[in-house]
Amino acid sequence: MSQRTEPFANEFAEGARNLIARAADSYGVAQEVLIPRIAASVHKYILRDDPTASAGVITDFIAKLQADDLCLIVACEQGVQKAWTDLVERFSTTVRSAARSASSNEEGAEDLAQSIWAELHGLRVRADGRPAGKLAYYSGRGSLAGWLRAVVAQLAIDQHRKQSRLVQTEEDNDFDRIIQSGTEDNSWAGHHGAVSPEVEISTKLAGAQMQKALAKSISQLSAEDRLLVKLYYFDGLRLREAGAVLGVHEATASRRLTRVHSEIRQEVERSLIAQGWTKVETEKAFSEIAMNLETDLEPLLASESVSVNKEKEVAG
Amino acid sequence: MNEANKNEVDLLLRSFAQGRNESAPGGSDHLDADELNAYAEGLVPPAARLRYIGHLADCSSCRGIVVGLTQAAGAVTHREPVTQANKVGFWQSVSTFFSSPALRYAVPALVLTIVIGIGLLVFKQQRDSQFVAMNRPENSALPVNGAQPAAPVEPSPAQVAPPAAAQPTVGVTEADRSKTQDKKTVTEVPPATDATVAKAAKGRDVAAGDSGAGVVGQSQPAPAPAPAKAAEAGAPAEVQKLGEFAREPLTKQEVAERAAREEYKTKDDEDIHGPNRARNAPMSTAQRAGDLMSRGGPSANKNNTNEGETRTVMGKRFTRGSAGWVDTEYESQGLTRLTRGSDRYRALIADEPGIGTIAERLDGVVIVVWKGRAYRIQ
Repeated sequence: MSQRTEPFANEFAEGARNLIARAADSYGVAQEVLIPRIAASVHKYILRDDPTASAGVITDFIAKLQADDLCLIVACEQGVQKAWTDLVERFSTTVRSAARSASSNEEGAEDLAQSIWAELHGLRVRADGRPAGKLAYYSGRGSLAGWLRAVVAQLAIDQHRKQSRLVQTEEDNDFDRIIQSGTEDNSWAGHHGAVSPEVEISTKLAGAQMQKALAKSISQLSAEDRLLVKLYYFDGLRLREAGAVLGVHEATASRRLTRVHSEIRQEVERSLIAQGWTKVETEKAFSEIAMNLETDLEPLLASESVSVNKEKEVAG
Repeated sequence: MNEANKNEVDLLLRSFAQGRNESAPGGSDHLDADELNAYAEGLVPPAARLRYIGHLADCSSCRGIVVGLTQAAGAVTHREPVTQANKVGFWQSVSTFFSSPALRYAVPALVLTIVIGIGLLVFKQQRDSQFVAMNRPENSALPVNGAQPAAPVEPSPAQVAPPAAAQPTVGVTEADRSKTQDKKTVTEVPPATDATVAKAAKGRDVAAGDSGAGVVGQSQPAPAPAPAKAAEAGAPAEVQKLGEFAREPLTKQEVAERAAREEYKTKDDEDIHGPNRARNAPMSTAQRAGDLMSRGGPSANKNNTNEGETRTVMGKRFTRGSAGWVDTEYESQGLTRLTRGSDRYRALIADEPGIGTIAERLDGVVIVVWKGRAYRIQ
């Protein structure tokens, strides 16, 4: 805990008292147990990024913590049996649902759901003798149901990674080769049939320079714009879904994307001109590459869907 | 940047993303489950959020979890102020506005609006002209003290009064044209005070009650100038004269003439008010009946003694007033005037036999509201 939190000891104590008062069932959680938990949350969400935060901001933050959920989790951590019973009873459906979303089959989902409770409780033991479970990481900022979904999703990814490392079949290697060849074929040089080697080399070079400039321009975008581009182009989300992740309306996301297009184009042009291209050449390159990409988009999208299906099979 | 340029960059990015493996940061740098969930639920403080976004932009595994959590949480999105878009230059914004996606919707919408507007205008004109045409035969046959009403003129949209204020729908333009002539007719009627008119009316009522002849229902037309002049004198002798006048048997032609005069007088009175809608505001049925009565209009007949009588025909209630049998649903809307036995009347009762039944059971003038339209049958 940073020294900066010391001046807020009163706010933490007051916040803990209010939190217990707000909870419908505090499971007998003591104020002293809650204070370090609240202090950790304040540090994680406020003081880490804004060390000069005012007492008012901190009080407001504490007042918005989920009192019921936090008391339930702290009580589980304390080993209160009733709290554990309530936790399983209230959230087993949520956990099972999240596990089904993360797994491709019912059996895998059931295994995942079962392992979650063990992860929450903790298989290892801390220095104070209590189990070192994931319960210690719940801050009370978001809902407990959402947190459990996130825990399930992370656990599913971890299990998938472990499984992928262990099971690398010959088929997967073949599949990787197909994907790789598809990616290589996806050259921005286009498909020009019979052309002279000089032209082909220069076209490929132009395509490579364009790709490099494009990657640079994306990296120079603001974090929010970059996230929008990633969500929309890399993750294949719709504008509405991408907007939801960013917390903005679909129309706003659309406006932003239009602006990002403009910025990217300007930045790519600037970058290419800096490499010796003329303005006319950059415009010509844009239109030619886009024309080639347009004709090639169908097979690319088809190969993408194949790869996604294959990944799902592997995950299952 | 035009649309083609955008598509080029879009294609480049799509292709660039194909088969690209992102290098994830070291294991210790990954966001933990608590941070991922807090981000997905939008509960991360701004300073920490920037750091998380930076990581998510470069780490596909964390990004994948966040995407899943966001979709599970049904993340609440908020609209950002459009300040971001303002960074684009003015001329760029203008060119974007006139680019094909914008015009794709704006132009058809504009064309559709214009077509609907023109259609409404044409429909309104047709409806108005039909309205005038329906009433023209009655007007054209109305001689006012020998002064023939001006030939019907197609009213311009501006001249046509709105339906609510179009109570005297008998050719507003005609009335304007013949205003001078009509005014002459009106000025022949001395400006009788309410008292004198009431006296005259009373005299007529008494006389009509005695004789009971020569009166055709409540549609009995306005009093001729002579009785009005007589009323101006205000003496009992004049009342006697009025009684005599009322006793005189009226021919059908005279009855029609009187009706025409009354209608023109009423219309002219309203036209005098000009475009002042406040003064031309529609009167309630009772007000109108009272107004007619005070002017010695059709109320001044033998049926005056039966005012306030109520009858129910075909499930509709009618109150007998100075203007005849008036449907209780009538609220001074525009009237379609029909004469019993006319071709139009026969056509109407063929379509709506209920109106025929009402007109048969109630004698005299009947104002009936039928399917939202008001008819004056005499």
